Amino acid sequence: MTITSRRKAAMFATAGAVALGLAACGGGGDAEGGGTDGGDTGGSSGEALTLEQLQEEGTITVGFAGEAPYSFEEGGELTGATVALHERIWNELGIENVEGVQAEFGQLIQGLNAGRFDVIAAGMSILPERCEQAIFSDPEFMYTTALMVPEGNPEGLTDMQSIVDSGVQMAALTGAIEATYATDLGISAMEVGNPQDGLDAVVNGRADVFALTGISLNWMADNNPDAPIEVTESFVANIDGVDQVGAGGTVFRPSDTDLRDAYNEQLAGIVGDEASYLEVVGDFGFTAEERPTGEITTEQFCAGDIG
Amino acid sequence: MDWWSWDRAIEVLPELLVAFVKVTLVATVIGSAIAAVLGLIIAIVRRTAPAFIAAPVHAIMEFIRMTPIVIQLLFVFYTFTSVDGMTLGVIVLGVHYASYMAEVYRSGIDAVPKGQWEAAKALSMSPARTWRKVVIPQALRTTLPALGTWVISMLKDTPYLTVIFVVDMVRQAENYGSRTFVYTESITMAGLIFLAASYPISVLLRRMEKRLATY
Repeated sequence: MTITSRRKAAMFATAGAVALGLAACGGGGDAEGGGTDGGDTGGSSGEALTLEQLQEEGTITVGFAGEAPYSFEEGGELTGATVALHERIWNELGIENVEGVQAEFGQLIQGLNAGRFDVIAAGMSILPERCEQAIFSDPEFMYTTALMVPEGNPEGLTDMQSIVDSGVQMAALTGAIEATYATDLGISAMEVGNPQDGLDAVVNGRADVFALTGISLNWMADNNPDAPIEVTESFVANIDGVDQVGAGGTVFRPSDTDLRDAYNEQLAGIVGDEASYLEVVGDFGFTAEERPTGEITTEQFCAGDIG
Repeated sequence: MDWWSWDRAIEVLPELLVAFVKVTLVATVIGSAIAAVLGLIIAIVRRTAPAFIAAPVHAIMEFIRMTPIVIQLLFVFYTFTSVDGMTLGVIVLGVHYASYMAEVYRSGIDAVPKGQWEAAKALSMSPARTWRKVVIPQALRTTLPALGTWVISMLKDTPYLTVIFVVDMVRQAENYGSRTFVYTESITMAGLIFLAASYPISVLLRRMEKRLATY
């Protein structure tokens, strides 16, 4: 063996050892992910977090993304529609406190599975890819579309088809589902980078209508009482004869099925009754249109088996 | 819509200041302390310890210096899942900046004239005493201003802590934006608070530089 080849062998050995070391680190991380974060969170892998554990601690920690009106902090207080839902449900299940840990929206599921919090309360859409990583509660609300129009709705717009028919200028949020609807319907919509720009476009007349989820538009209208705009009633967009439905729910770790079942049981009592649903989430711009009717289940959303 | 509203700017200020004190300031102060002490230890170890210790220390330091702090934060956060984000964040900031500060210390130590070492030897001072009484005091003189620059840099790196679920001032400003759909005032105010915090440090550094200059 020459010196060079021996050196090469040593290099490979080192590289191998480093790789092994890293692998061991990764494995160790998974195994020790006990998540004893001050007793706040439950186990991250293997052992399921039970209702009894949480009742004993008296606190459940929810992950949230700081997105109004779903779950966000105001004046240091955790609030929002999904938070209100969680406070109601967990209190009924004998858990007094609901505490929040804020994370990047895209990191919520990762954080949940790493034991950084117990559940995710962020109004997360139930999508097949997400169902592979975690489990969802029953739908908590339906994502419907609404239109923001100038005060008095001069063009008399009601749904996507009315925009096509009247040929008005539409605005949509870049990356939002409404922008896709516009493309599908052959509407040439202007794209705005954030919801505020959409509102501004309607106010200053650059757009006649701004389409977005009803929840977001209602919340914006509530927070801009002086703006000369109004929001139409929410509707389920219909593209090529197919209703475009989406739903949001609470996310649990795959192991915590018992906890999710307990949550679902309480949730059904609230969602099943329009008055009590609006009592809990009505303050946050949610309307009867957002209340799930139970037609499409979480399983169907997870399977992508809709429309 | 006004593009700037003083009412909103004043409204958002208290929550920004709370986040500044609780996260930005705490992380910078503790992180700097860790970095300053650890950096000096690394510099001395690299200079005095036998090669089988100095070489790995050097390699680890280079590794930390050459990889982004965001990756380090995420890696540590998802490895040590039982430690909270703020604690890990402060440690990672401290260790990351220790690797920069070690280089500053090294150049400071190298700048101590050879004659000083020789004189200490001639007076039969022990190596420990030579370091403590002769080399480090002189090295610190030349390095303190440069260390301060890294402290300012660390202050400005604290927003990275948001990737490990720590709500710092910038995230707080974004929160205000996502709540009200207006970002201009909150982000601007956060920027001004950073400026207000780092400018005095830089003035202090310039003064220190003048006072400590020996040559």
